[in-house]
Amino acid sequence: MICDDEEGIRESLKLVLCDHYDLVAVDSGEQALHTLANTKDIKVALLDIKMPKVNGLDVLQEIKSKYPEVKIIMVTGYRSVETAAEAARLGASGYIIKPFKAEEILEVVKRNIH
Amino acid sequence: MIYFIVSSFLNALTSFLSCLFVLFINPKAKTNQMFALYAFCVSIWASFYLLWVTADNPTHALFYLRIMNISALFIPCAFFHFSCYLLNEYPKYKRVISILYIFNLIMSSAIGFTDLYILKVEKQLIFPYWPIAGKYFIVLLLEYILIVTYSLFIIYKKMKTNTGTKNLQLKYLFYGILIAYIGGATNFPLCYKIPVLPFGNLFVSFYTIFITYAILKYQLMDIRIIVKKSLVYSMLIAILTVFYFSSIYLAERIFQGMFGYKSLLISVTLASLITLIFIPLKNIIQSFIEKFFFSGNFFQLAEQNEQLRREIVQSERLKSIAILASGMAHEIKNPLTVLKTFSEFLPRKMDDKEFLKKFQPMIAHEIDRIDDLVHELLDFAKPAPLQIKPTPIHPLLDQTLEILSNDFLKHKINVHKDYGLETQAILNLDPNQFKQALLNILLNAVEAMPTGGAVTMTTRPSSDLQYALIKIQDTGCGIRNEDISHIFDPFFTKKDRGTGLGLSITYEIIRGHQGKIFVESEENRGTAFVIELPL
Repeated sequence: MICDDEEGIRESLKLVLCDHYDLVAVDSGEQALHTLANTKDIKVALLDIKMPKVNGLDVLQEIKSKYPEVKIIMVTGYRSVETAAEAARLGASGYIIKPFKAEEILEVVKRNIH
Repeated sequence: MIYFIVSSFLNALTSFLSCLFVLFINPKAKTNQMFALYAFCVSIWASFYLLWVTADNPTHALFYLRIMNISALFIPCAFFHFSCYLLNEYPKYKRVISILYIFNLIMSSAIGFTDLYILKVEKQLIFPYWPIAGKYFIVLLLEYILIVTYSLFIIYKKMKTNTGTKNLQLKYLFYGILIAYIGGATNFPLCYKIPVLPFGNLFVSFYTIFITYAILKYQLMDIRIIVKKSLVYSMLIAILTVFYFSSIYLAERIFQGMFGYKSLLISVTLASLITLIFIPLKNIIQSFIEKFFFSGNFFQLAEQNEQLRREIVQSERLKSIAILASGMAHEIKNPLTVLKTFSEFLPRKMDDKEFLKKFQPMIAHEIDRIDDLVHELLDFAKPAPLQIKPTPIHPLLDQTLEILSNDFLKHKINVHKDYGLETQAILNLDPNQFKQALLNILLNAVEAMPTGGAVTMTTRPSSDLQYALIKIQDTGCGIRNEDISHIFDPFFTKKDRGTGLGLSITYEIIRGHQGKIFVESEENRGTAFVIELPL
């Protein structure tokens, strides 16, 4: 699952991953939770940190409490140690800084899906 | 002679105190240690100067002179050593300094045990035992000139490439040392029987005080003060000395036979007279110098203050720009991500029409976004007069909150928006300056909530519908009652690191918009700023 409020980022991630995985893309934290509630086989979620209304860290916390088996990779523009540490503390399995390389995304997703 | 006794005593005392002072402040710092060594050499030199001028026989005088010259030998060397540490150039000159010290040790034995440097002592002007230069005294003189000139040269070079505090510190050092060495050099002519009295001797103690002060508090004083004070005191000393000697000479001529040359009565009378006229004379000279050399001081001071104010306002603006830029860095990353992915996939998907159809407009859009962001940053950086134009207020508030989103996230601050004005409400304002005004308030809010909290941005129309009210509320530590009336005063700050100009700039900007700003605060509960702008 790809969760980002920006279409450009959603499309970019889709482009990188579409040949390898089945994808679902949503534009908000609420949508992400809704999708998880209705779709059983989501293994990995790529979450943007900065989103309007509910930020990615809150969504991460929510998902982890309800669906602990789902691996979460944070995708963000913040090169901040504190935010990365906070994400790790809340249970994120990966942390990718924008702008990313296609192979970087593939590598992290691959590592988390098995 | 009293002048030379007093001046050498003062030199010895001030130098020794400076030496102790810098060591007391930081005994471990190399720069301090080197300055202490230097001041110690000066104090030894001055102590033996004192013993020498008061010596009552030539053997003692010659002995004191030799020790005095040995310590004098190390003064420029220690100063150079200190300068190298101060200018961070020690590694470059390490070998030169070692060679100088070894050379000086060899020279010391020659000064101490041979007549190559000091041939003998004999009466010169008022001094009964003045040293007469030996064959190699010129070596000592040349070393003195070369090392001092070179030290001054490297300080001057560094002074020119530095600005601000460092520049001021070096200015002090440069002029202080220049005055001192010119003063100290007045001891040399008489060694070659050139009849010039070493009146510059007292400058040695002035420079020690100035340099110590400059090292410790360099940013506080202006170099003009050194020049001015040195000028005042040198003129004062010159006048008093001329007065003293001419009075003795006249008294001797008038009362020849009645009093001896060393009459206690004349000395005591003159000493009392000098004491009486010292302060008034100093004031007269001071005002004379102010008038003729430093006229226009008040205007210059006002001009300097204005320049300083402009610099601080600009630095505050730059601070906002830095915040804006860091917020923007994040905003730029999203379009960059799209561009990067597109460029990575383009070579292999060149013929994929669907890919091109989807990404082409997206790329154009992302490039426009970056372009807009760059323009916004440039507009913000310009210190321009208000450019008021109809501006949708809510998107502006959103953008401002967006700039600080990283800070909010980092400090666990939740942002709530409660927009009660019409969604499309438009206000007449300068978007960039208004954003800066809001940023200053929001930054204070962030600092007031180091362990998290909430910021609420509210908009409402006033009850008579004439004004728009924008309220920024935080749940931070609040402002103390006695401080509330001062928070918009320029330079009022309770922070360890702050200029105290942020909120005063906000106040000015809001006033420029024909608006008003109010603050309500409760300690440990939070603060609310309310901005009132005409609708």
